Amino acid sequence: MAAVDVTTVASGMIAFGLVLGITIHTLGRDAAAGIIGAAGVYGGSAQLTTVTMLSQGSALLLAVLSGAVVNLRLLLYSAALGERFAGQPNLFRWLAPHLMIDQTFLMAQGRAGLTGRTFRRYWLWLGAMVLVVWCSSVAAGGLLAPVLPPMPHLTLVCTAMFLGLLLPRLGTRPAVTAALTGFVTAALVSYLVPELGIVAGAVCGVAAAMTRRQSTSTASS
Amino acid sequence: MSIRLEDLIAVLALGLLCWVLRATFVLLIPPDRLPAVVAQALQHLAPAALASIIAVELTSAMDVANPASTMQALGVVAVAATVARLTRSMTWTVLAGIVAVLLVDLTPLA
Repeated sequence: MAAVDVTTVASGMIAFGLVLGITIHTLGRDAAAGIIGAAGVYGGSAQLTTVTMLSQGSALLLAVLSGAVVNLRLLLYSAALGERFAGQPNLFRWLAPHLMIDQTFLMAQGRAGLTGRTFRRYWLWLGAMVLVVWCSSVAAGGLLAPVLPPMPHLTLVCTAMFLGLLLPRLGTRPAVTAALTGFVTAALVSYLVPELGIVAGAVCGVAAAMTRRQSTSTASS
Repeated sequence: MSIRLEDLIAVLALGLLCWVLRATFVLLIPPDRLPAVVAQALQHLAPAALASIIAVELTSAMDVANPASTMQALGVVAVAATVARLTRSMTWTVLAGIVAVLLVDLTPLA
């Protein structure tokens, strides 16, 4: 089951991993630290933000905090998945949240029936396999950077993957409202404060969907 | 092989902060403490987060100073969205995205 879900998201991750590896090489940052970061941060957009800011001469603390702000949506994922981590062994509860990223969150959301030991096994296999795909892609990006032609739109393969994940989820009006509000909000906010775009869109999208759901249920009652 | 200390500290510190974000509702705040309305609202998190990620990726790929590149980016996303809508298949959507990116980046279309 986990292997099937990994193949679903692998192509987009490989493209984004290549982009991160190539960027680290192009900016002249440390390749080994990039690989350690791929596993340790396990979040491409956050690491990309921090690396880019460091290469632009930003202070270390500011670069790290900006990367963390990009990943604020992890807080929402943690809240959404927290129930399924409750009652699990302590070691799992301490270490396994590290495997929480966009792709693993979305895949686990699609497997709502998995709980307890079954969820634990699924989550570990999914997270570990995705981690291997991710780290290999970043490493490959660094190695291939000198010989690859410039591909400025490569990261859009990842966007295509997210589109493929989004469309089947637009089955209800609240879901459509969440997506439309999230899209518009994120686009607007990212022009002003790029680091806050995703989390602002996610929060506003969720709020709009709730409002929509409540108004629909009020009208029908 | 020596590792640049600044880069290493940056990724380790960022990794630690990200772990705190990930573990907050697993270790620090029990999920049953969440108000019911918030727990309900989180059911809509997936479409909201996905659309937000797409919006941010798309806007970062657009460059006002380079209209041709912006049009190419919009074209790639339009192709992927059309295939996603028609096929509802992740494989075909990503394949369409890859082909579109290769076309705009590696052929005379670029």
